[in-house]
Amino acid sequence: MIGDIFGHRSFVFANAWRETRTRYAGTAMGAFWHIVQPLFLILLFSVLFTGLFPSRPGSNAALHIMTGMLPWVVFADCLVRCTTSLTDNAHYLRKLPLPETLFVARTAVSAGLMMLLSLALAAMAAVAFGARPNWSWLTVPIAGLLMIGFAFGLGLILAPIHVLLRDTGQAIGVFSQFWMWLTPVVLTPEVMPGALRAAQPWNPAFWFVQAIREPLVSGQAAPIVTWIIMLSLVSATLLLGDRLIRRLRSDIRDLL
Amino acid sequence: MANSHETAIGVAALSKRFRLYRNPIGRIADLIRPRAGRFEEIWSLRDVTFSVRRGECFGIVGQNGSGKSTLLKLVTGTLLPTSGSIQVNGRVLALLELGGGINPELTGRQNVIMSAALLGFPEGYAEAKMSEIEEFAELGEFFDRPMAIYSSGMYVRLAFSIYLFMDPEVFIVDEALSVGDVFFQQKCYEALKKIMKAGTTVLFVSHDTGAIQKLCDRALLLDHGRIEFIGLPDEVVNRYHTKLGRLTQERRERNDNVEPPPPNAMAAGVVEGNLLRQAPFAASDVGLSLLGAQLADSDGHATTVQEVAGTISVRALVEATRDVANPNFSLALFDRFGALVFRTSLARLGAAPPPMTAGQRLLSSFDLTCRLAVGQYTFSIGLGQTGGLSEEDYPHSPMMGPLFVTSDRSTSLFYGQVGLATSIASASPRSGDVP
Repeated sequence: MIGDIFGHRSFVFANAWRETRTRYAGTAMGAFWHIVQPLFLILLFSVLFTGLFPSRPGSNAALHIMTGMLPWVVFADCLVRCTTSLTDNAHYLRKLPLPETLFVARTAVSAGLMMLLSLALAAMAAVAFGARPNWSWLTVPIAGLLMIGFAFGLGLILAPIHVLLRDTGQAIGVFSQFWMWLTPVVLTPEVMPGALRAAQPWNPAFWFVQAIREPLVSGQAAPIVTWIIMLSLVSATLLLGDRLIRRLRSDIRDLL
Repeated sequence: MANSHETAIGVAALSKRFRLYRNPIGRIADLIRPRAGRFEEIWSLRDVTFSVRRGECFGIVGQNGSGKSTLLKLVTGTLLPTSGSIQVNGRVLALLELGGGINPELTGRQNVIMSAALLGFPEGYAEAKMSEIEEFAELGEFFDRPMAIYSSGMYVRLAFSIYLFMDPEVFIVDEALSVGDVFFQQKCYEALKKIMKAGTTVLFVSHDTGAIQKLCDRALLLDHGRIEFIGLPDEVVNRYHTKLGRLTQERRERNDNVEPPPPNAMAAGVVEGNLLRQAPFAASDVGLSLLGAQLADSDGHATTVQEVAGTISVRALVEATRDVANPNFSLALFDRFGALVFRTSLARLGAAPPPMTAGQRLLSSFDLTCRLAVGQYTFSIGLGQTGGLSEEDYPHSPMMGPLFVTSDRSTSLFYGQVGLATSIASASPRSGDVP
């Protein structure tokens, strides 16, 4: 798989870049739409928590939600689009003998760009809310890209299943909403029910969300254990997805 | 098989099976724990073996569902074989359906660049070829407009132009080409011949058997996923048409047993094989009504197949719905492109029938010598009156047929659309006599 992607790297990157640029082709505001959603989220939570429901001093709920929501929206979008990437690109796959993984990779790379953009906005918002940048902030984009890597790995597993069973994409869309509330994205671990809070170490998304948020909120980089867990999750899903796509290749092609 | 440098495509014992599941859950269950009986098997290709030499143009002929598309997709690599092997030496480009990977939001020019990236060409390659592509596609100002507003003909022009200039080593051309207009088609054939001369191998799939005969060096006839015949295009095409004719006749005979012809036609004598689907066809302005029509051989038996140069009778049973002073019936024959091949009428042939009274029936028979190119034809009967409308404005029945003109001979009597009545006079003039 690595070889396939590397061999077609110019295709993957050029197309991811082109996809990012042309996703809003035909709209008046064009590429501006990419940042409309994160900007809107920032605005919403700023108004909500400074104007309407001012929170207790020191709790900074707006910052907590922004640093969780901004990456999560990109992650969930990436997961859903990776899952449907093979069927979305069926017109290519029916006609060109390109490796299937390229289309999942292309979606992930394009989501990676979005992740960096969103994290940059989140960092700016954090500064506006009084956070002080330090060296630990440099680990944020790395954690963000690992989170996209995790979505890519899950996408590799889910994409072939989605070809066989088109309900998968729908189910993932619904599940990712649900998953957000199981993960401390909006809620803080403290307000979660005890059982859910205790289960957090078993929630893979928890580690990524923590690794992205902690530097921005408390100026502390994630501990080494978190990085090991994240890397293991990414490699495990990538390996599994790669095996699954290989195994199902013939069936995928027959059904597209 | 020739040595590997000479072989562009080598296909050995290739089979492809599709599994049809009633329910997608069944497919998933089979992957986890296979069990017989969850699916229906369809063998699209069975044990197909052939090889194509470098620079050769190889045609693939077969009816719909014979496995042509599956074979192409296997050669292209977009489908994987169930068993057997395919070896393709060199880059394959396939003009499958309409150009793969075209984004209708982008302009023609942007799509050229996009396609080049998709096909793995280095950056700058498409730009270098751009002026040639632009010139060949002949799209004018449309080249810089979004492809969403292109007609299907323009689409194919661009797709074909892109692929032509991407220097394929194996070029797969299919039905898509027939979408373009005749002039562009001719240009494409010209271009194909040129790249073939330069060593490109062409795999050509088409229903246009004329094009197969003109372009291909060899051809393959597929039938129900198996190779029926491999050989010279003329022979393959002949076998194809013969087979097609036989098949349709069988089908028609089978249908006849199930579906009796309309009773009014039956009563009057056009008994077997009425080809008029919705009888009668009434031309009330003229006062005539076509009850039925039939194709028959010289012995009077209903048939829809005739050999080249054989005689076929087109018989039409017409009833007058009121008194008609000077009735006239015309016959028009059309080729597979819907172009008029031939039209005549009873009056034109000096055989105008006498006046008809209300309720009177008349059975007329046009006996035609099928000096026509092998292929399928349709016909229509026109009803009118001499001295009234001109013949082409007569009310015409719906298209009937098809009539299959076939040939079992390996050498045809003639080439082209029709065999003109020809007599030969040969002499040996001295050089001074030449006009």
